[in-house]
Amino acid sequence: MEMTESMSRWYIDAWCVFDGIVFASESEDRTNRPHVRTVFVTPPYWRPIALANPATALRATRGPFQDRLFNGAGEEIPFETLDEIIELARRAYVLGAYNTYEPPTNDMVMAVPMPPDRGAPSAALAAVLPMLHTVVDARHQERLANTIVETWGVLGVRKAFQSWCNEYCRWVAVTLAAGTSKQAGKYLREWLQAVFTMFGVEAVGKIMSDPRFANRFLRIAPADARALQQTLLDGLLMRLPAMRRDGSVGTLGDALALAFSSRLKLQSATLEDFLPVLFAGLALEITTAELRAVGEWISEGVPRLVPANHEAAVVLEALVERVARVGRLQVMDEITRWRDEDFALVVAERTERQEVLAREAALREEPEQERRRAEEVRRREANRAAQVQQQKVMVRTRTR
Amino acid sequence: MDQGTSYFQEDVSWPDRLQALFETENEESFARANFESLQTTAQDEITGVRMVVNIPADALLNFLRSKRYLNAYSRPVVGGKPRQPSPMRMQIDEWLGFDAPEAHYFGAVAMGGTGVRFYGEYCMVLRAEAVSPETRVFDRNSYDLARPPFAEIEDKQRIVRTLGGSWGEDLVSLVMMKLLASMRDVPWLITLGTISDEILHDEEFIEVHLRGEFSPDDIEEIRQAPEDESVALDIEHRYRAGAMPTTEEMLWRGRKMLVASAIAEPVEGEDGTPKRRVRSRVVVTAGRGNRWR
Repeated sequence: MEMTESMSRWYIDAWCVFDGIVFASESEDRTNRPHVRTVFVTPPYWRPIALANPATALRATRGPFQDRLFNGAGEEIPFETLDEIIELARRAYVLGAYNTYEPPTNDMVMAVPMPPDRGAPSAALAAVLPMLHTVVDARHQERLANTIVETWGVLGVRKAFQSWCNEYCRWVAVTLAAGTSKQAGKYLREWLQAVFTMFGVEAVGKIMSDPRFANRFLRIAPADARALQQTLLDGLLMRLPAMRRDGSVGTLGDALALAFSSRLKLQSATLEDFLPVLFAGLALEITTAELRAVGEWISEGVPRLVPANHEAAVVLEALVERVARVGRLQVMDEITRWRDEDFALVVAERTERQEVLAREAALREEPEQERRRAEEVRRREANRAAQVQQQKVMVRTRTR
Repeated sequence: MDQGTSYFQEDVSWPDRLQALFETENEESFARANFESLQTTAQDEITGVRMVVNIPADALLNFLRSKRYLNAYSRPVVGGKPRQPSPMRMQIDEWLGFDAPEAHYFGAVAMGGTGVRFYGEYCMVLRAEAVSPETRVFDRNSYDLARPPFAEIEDKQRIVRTLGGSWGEDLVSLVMMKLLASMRDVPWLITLGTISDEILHDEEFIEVHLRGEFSPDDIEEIRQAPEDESVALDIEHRYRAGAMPTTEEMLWRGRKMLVASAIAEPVEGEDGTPKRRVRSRVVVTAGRGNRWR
């Protein structure tokens, strides 16, 4: 039994990358895909479900599932445990949040979420950031959560968060003063609901007291905690804007996607990268305001099982880099384009092969007489050419 | 007559196989009456059989955005490029006798229900007119050809000839033969909920090989399973009870909202007026509610 366990590895049979659905098999010899067992894993629970028929997994590649997972050399990548595959699927799924929500347009740019004193957090960052990408087990998770509580708790992170939300309110006022665009109105209702619930009327009181905007605000009912929780779950949190390192405006969904899918991004994380993640946790933890719970949430989310030097991590990091550089939808469009090119190639090769076969068949089917007649014609032409050549030689001889 | 033998009769069409089976039945048999009932319903333009294709949320959003349904073929989203399409895939394509393997899109036969949910939580139901009568069907997952007991049989074309057929001529008889394999001696009239469950259940289904792509315009409706609504509620309830949702749970729920928005988004109709892009609903479990589909 031990022998079997040591020899068998887990492999991905089919994977719908941004949807997180994976069919995986445990196998001792992958050559003809003999399997020990096959499972199916899907979000949001990620619990493996046994499949009676491995053909169910293989058939998935007829749809939007990719066929297995290969390294750069075209070899299939094995995994020691099923948990590694599940973590990989989870990381790629979260990466799917990148670009899922459109950030505000330039005329709607909001304040950067920054703590009141940018100098102070450097100590906390020095303590927390290196730990983000070294989480490998429950003990490390505990340490990370504790450190977040100890360092960020004393630095008044809630004050920073409140400041961030106050900036939202300021933006609301500016936007309204400029005339509410359709897009601004779409964002406005949800953000106001969030701000009302999280920070009460004090934060938005100044705006409400302005008679120019009072009527508009009164039409928007303050949300209760339940309604806010629901809207946070249904995408509000992912849509909230967050400043990127390069100064452009992205979303919290983008920030979470990179932090929770890539160890390399965590290794090079800066204040601008980490704060949106922390703020996302704080926004989620609106009911009890437990910084510890936020720490645990972050430690649960960051990559922890698959080491950075694992072949699968290397190919995933390459995808993260590409998605972050050109955008997820562009990556999908690229794949569509490649697919079309592949298909065109396959069709061209098939057409060429069919033409060759047709020519060969035509030759085989050509009536024997016609073939002989053609041979006769070729022979006569050859004779005539030879005669002409001979006559030329004779003429040259006479001339001499 | 041995059921297994009549099911696997070579070079005999599905309707003839069924007819041969009926000839062995006595007058009181319910099989014939059940077949007549199935024939009427399956060929009905409203309640009849459909080709369904399951798709996960993000892939569905891409499909609605790009208006193209794609099979992944050989290009992976992540990782290096395999040297060629999987040998097994090429082998199955060859056994199935496709003239253009890359131009075939796979689905399943359904009468109600939410399709093969392993392949995605959204079940796209193609309009009846989007599937031509010449479309090929296969009585099971074609990858079963590479699994025992078929793997041991050398002449795969013979199996394909025996178990394949066409949508127009063979499908209803094929469905009935499948039903009779498990319900031949049932001494009552089978209800459509039972038929729906028998046609497509868990990992078992009748495969459809549609030649050519399809677009959102070919979709009659998108069905969702009630179980997914329960999962969404479960996440929300746990959150209200104090458990912070994971990013994946938020993304999963957020995607459901995005799909709902994308489906509800109006598109311009032929006469220039806005119309609903595609119908969508959560189905009721087959045979248990007041409606079976």
